[in-house]
Amino acid sequence: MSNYIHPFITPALYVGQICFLAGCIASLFFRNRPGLPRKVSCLTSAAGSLFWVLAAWQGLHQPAQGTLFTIGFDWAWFWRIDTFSSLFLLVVSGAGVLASIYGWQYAREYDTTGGPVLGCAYNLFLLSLGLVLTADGVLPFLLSWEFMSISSLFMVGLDHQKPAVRQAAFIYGIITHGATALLTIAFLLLANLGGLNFANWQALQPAGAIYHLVFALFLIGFGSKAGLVPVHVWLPRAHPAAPSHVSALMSGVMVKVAIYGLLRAAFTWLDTPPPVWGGILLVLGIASALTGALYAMIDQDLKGVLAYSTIENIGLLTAGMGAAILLDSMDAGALALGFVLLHTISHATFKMFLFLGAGAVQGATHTRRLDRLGGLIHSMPQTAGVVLVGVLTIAAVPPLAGFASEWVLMQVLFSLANNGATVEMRAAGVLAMVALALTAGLVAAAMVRLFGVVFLGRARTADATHAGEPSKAMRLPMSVLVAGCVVVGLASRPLLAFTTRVAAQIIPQSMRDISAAPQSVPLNPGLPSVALLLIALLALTFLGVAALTRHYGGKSHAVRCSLPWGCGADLTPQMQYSALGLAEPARIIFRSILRLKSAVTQTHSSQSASVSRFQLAVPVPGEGMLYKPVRNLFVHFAERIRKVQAGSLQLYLAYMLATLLVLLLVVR
Amino acid sequence: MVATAFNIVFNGFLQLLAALLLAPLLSGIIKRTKAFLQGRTGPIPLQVYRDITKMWGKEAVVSTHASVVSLWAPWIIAAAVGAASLYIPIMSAAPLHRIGDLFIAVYLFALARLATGLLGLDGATNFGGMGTGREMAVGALTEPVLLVSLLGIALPAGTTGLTNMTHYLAAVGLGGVNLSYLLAMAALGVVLVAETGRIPVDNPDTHLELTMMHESMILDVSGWHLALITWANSVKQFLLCSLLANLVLPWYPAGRFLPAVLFYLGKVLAIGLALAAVETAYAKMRLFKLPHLLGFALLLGILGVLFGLWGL
Repeated sequence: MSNYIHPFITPALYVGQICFLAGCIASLFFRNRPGLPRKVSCLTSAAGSLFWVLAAWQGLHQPAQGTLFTIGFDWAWFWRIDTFSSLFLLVVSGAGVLASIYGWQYAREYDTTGGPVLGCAYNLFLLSLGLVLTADGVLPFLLSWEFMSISSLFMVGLDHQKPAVRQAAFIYGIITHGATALLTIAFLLLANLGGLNFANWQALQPAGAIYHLVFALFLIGFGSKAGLVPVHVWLPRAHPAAPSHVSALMSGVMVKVAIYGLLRAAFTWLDTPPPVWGGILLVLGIASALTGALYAMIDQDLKGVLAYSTIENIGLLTAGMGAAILLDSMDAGALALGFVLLHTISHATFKMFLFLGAGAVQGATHTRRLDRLGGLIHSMPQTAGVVLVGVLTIAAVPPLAGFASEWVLMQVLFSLANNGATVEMRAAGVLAMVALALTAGLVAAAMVRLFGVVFLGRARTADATHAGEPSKAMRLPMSVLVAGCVVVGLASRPLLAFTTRVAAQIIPQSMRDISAAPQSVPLNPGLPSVALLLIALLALTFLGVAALTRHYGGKSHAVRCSLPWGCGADLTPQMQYSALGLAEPARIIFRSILRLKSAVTQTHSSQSASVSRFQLAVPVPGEGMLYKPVRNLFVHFAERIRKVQAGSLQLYLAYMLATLLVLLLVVR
Repeated sequence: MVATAFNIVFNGFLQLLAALLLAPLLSGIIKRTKAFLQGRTGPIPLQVYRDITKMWGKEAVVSTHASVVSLWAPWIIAAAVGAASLYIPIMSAAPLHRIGDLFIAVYLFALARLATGLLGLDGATNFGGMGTGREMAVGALTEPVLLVSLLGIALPAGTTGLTNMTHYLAAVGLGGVNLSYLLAMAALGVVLVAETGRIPVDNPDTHLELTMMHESMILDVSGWHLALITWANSVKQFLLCSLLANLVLPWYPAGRFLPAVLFYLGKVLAIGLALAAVETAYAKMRLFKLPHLLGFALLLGILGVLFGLWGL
């Protein structure tokens, strides 16, 4: 049974890879014919992703492995998919199909600038995402990881005429390569014990300090790709800078690949981490969640808010992972990992369509600044509906998917607070729950602000007045994702049972026995899905009554439109509360944490009226404290070392001579 | 099985109906008591019903700039609060206590707040935006206080079900009253004041822009829309009073219907009167002093839970 490989998996995987590679090459080949690279690349990536969806679907039921190619006689690119990687592959390639359909229309604006590069990098990106998930050895993993970083870097820097984009790409490049370097060290340390193939990496136990070093390296390396605080500074810059369907993939899917790596590292490759790492993950997760929520409340950029929300959600996932480690010996550990997988799925769906919706807004209005938008619900009702579902989901409103996963995380933390092994663990559970409730409140505020400023009220600028719905090809993927999100929310109970079973496959034997039956998990007092269905039914009943009332209510239940009272003056769109103003209470309440610098400048014009401008500097959190010293150290070091390069030929010859002498002396 | 099902349906339905119908009466009594304490006569308690029925019969006027959000938000608010009443213990057990817990109730209230916030922004008026900004920020602070004060009881009870919590408290009796419990109740008291939008957090009777929060969001709402929201707010207030009453006095005379009902109504009324007394005794707090009050309550709650963990 275990040797049986479904005959379909291998060809589907290979055909998918060929599609992506073909798209890569064809995009560059047709570089002189504007529009063609876009069409070809979207077709190939959609086809490749579709094949991978099929392969992953089979892989859920039946693990498979094989060799992609062999170099020389002793090294080969091994791949393997099991249930766990299939689940991620399914999410990744499903997202790939939808993003490609969206890109067919959306990427039009890049036809004249960078279209071929986008097409090539886009295919390479999707290919490498899948290759990371199926890699069965150190070299395949690191190579595809690097391809993933570089291809996404190209797409982040696509608008390189803008200085902000160049800066975003630069920072992303540095951090992602630093992360790869750390991962390489960690992999090499482990390769000492288990060889270069993951097949032998089962609960490796490096001695003492090495274990902690390896885990720390994995945490920083994968964490910085995932956008975990404090190594998240690239994310709120880079994710918004890319084209929207790429932002959607980066935020919805790429960060999940990092989570995949972290899960593999913590639960498969290494022996179960000691509780201290659980505590660290929990603290980092909560810190990320709070930071993401707080800055989502303040950021002025439509896609920036969504990027910060990604940091928040990654925080929830990491906190769940930390709780899983702390709950190791209990059956709730498997439930915690089940939550991580469930939320991976639901976050991928809703973050995808939110970014796609943001792309539609950007395409229609040519701006992402919240304070230049407004009233789009009138000109783009369908997009507004899509974003509204996403906003409600992020704000964890029952009965949608966000609430379901938040509920499970709360239950996991409650069981940590209730049954934790030590008093410290239980206190950690309580504090995590409190922080999570604060996060939920802040996220709700941020989402009301996002939707209210962009879609409700009146258009603040002419750009926003003349907006229109995106084309059908762009609306279709959004609608599919919205439907998926609603289904995930309503079917969260069976899905949770499924993800808990999948999680049980990667967790150590000690946790596996009990977790095979998720029914034994102390979900108290009962099934969320049934409750969610009831809420949905009740809400639908109310809405039905509402519709009837409006239809048959006669004159007394009529709704009349009238201009709002403006105290005698005419209300202008500029008088509406701005995104800045809506965030002000939160900014004042949390001023001691945020430490933002604001300034009011007054310029006197020739007339008597003076114009006041309010400026608020919102630095990316953690940058000043953590990154400036490191940067200064580098610059300092670089200046020292520059003296070596004096520019005189004799000196360089002398270096060569010295090197030669040293080598002769040392190596002989 | 059939008997249990009947019990759930009958008890649940009856309690639900009572909560939905009696809620405006509680608002009326609080108003009347407040007036009495301030040396006025005040409207009779039934006036709230009259207001709601009068508004229900009138057309709603919405802003020209408003969207479909303004048309649905009153219904969503009413639906969210109505759904929450299925999960909060009213007289004995919450109608759906087997399949829902405190998180569902807390997040349903959050849904009501979110819908009100969107409603505030929909009309493109300044007051609505002002209220939304304030209410959402203050709401973000009340949510953790509500959660932590309920945790103070949920942890010793070992369950997150609200009904199970009251049953636990009833079973342990006075033995359950310790420092941790008292701190949790104090925090819950602050939440009650904040969530019902009362002085010193918010003022339900004012329309002065410096002080409004909740009223500011619904300033432009009128007619039968306003009737729905007013009713939903009174239900929310009733549910929170009922929750606090059930946690402070979890007992009820077993087996006898009428005394049980009277005892229950008595304790909810007592909480309502306490609210009126607090409103009379305190002045409205400055908006940005509120975080201090809520932060204080949050620390009380956390301390209470931690004391509980250390067995104090």
